[in-house]
Amino acid sequence: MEYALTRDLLRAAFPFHFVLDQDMSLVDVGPGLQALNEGMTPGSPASDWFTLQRPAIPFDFSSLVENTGLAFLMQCRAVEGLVLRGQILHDPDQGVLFFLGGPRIANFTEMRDLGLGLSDLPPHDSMGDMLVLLETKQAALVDAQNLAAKLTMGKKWFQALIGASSDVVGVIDQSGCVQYVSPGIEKFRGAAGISLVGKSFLEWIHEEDAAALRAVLNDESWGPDAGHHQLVRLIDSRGISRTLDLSLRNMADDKYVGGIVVNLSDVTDRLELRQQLLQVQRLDTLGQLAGGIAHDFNNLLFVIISYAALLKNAAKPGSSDYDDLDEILKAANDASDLTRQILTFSRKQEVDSSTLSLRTVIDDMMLMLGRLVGDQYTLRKHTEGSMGLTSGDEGQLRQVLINIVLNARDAMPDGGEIRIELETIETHEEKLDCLGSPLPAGSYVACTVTDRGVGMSREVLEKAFEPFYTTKGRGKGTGLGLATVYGMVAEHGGGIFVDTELGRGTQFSFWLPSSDSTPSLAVEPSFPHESDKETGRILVVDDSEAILKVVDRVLGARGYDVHLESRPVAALERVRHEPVDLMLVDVLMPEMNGMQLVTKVLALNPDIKVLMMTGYSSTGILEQATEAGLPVLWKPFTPTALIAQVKDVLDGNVGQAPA
Amino acid sequence: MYGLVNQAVQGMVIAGFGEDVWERIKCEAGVDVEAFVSMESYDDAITYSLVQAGSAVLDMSPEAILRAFGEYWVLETAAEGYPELMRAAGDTLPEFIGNLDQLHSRVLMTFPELCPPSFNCKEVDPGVLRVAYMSERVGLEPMVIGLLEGLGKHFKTPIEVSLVDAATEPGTPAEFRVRYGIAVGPA
Ligand code: HEM
Repeated sequence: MEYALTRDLLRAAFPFHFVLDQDMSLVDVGPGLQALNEGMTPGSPASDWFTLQRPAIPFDFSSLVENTGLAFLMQCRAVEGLVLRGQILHDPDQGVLFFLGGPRIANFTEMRDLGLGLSDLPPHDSMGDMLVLLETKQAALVDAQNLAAKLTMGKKWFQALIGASSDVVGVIDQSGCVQYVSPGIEKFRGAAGISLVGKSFLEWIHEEDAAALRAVLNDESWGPDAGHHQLVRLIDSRGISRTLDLSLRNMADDKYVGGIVVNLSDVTDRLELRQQLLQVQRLDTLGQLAGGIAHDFNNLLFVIISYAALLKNAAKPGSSDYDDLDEILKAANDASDLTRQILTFSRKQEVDSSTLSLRTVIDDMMLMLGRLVGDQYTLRKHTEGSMGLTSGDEGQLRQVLINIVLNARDAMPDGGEIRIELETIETHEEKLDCLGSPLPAGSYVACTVTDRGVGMSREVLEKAFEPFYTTKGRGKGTGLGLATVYGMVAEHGGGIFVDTELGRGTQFSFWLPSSDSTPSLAVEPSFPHESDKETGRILVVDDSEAILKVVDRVLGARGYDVHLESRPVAALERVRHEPVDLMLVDVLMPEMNGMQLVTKVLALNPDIKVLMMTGYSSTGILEQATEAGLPVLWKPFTPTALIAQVKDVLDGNVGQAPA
Repeated sequence: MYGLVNQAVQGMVIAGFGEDVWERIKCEAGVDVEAFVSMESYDDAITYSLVQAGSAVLDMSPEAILRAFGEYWVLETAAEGYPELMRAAGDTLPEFIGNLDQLHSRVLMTFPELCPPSFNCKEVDPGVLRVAYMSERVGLEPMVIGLLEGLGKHFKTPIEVSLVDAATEPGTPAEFRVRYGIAVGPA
């Protein structure tokens, strides 16, 4: 059965076809072509409209007939850019050639430029499919680029995050082999993380710690999601021993991680700090203990000094009794000096600034410093050059000196000479101290402590002023550390200069601004004369019988009417029933402290004058007393000081705020 | 549905509400796919659960989400990803709707597992189209409304779409009435 395609069907199936006769004239033209150029009508020569691009044969009837099996490219001259691709079929019966094909289009834009749309292509033409494929490819490319960008961003984000962390994160396998490690490892291994992949993590850490870790990794019951925590030690890339807090999580079964996650954080400094804090606490406890003892000592010394003074006052000057008593008094005063120094540590002194002579302070401290450093050391002082007048807090400056001297001692473990010098220095330009803080031009008191010890390297010196830094072994660190010393000196407007050389020793100077006013010298008033009798009823309250007795002696001798009470409650009772002009009260007493008693007494009789006594306080009671404006007498006091203070308070020279 | 569709859902959520919300929706939907591949065919259930979860997280009805998605598909996915194909498919709204089957049949070559919709469009009155939509899926009519509205915007013509008849089962047509090219709104 034979079929023929009618002209209409042909036009529908191949809208871009054309038919040629033997003269190479157009016999028929498809509707697609016709729509593109209406002049393309039957009868006109084909060569007016088309140029044969491929195959390279003459554009004549017989040549075309001979090559019907080939693919033909026809350039359509009427429409710029339009090339038709198709094939030539020969119908010998009708003596015509058919060109069947369609536009060759590389993309939708080209199609549009030709004035064609999707619906101009016959459905069987796969050109449209290809164009969609191409456009999809383009869209997929953009897609892939976006994904790659997102991936890069995620990676960078992760790297930045993990790079900024002070911890090191890694993944190891069961044998301890590194699969990943974050860049933070560089500070421990001195190599970039990537170069450590494949190496054994266990080899980096201390053998004992590695053994413990290995045991965990080999433990079969240590399964998915199990954790582990321990401290590990390693030597970092600079050869310094570090302690790391290590934690493991078994994520070997996790499809993303597929290994054991390791987190390392360096706790070396934290551990060191904790150790030193303990040390400070221990020192603090020691200070309190010493303070407590000093308090008792003070009471005893007060008794000794008072009785000796009373006896000496009664003795004839020049007699051997008089001289002996003088020696007793000197020794007791020395002892009293020592307790005062101990109290410097235990008592929280208020920073009170007054003009003082650093020379006097140093002279005063030599005895105690000698004891502190021990027999193997010789302390030499050269303070003649300067009075060392400065304005400051004596207690703090004592601590500064003690700490610097102790440092000098520690630099010479086998003993040696420590020199303390004092001079006045004038600078005409600003000077930068060892931490680079500027000291303005002017006059300074400089105290220099020199040792011939081990000296400090530049690195050690740089770290020496960090809080809690010590080069001494655990438990050996003494004192407050240079950071605190520096803080105290800086608070006085001064600075510190260090000259040191490894193996040669260290010269440590602290400079304080000079003061030109004269120091408030504590002049010991002479023992008042027997004849200057006083009057007044005085109630003395102290839990120490010895104190009560000696105060009774001293004040009784001055003519005062003295009444004694060892219990605050009894004292209160007495105030209720008897007139009292002045109450002399110890701050620390059992049952009721001095301040509580004073409050109650003043509530009963606001006219009673009050004088507090204390030898020791780290409690808030003393602060309350000072806040209330109550005068305080520090133990051990001399009889003279007691008499003078009592008189001042009774005369209203030193007053208390009205209750 | 092809990844292209899920990608578009993702794009719409992120553009409107941010990455975090998208992660929440994915989590709510139980979809653990970091990135959809446009030319990979995914189970329809993924798309549906994303819409469901989006509805819960954004407190919108699934219909509202489908409708917004239809518009996003035309104006963003198609117009941005397939601008040439969109242009080649027609210069006017009715012509374009008439060519949608052509378009999807061309797309079929690239997305061989495509299960495309079928559209039929008749101009019943000047400016009024009756659009028949047939699909093997049910319940997507709100999306078609959004798609047609998106086409209105694409061709810069005012448009009003109403659902005349919803499909009752797969393979039965739904019918829409589309008024376009005239001022719409309160008369
Ligand atoms: C030019 C770009 C377009 C492309 C590449 C495209 C491609 C796709 C693809 C991949 C699907 C998913 C079908 C499956 O995975 O089984 C789809 C579905 C669909 N498309 Fe298109 N599309 C295009 C434009 C349009 C437009 C403009 C409309 C407007 C009416 C439309 C109407 C639909 C509908 C209604 C479906 C849902 C399938 C269903 O009803 O079962 N598409 N299309």
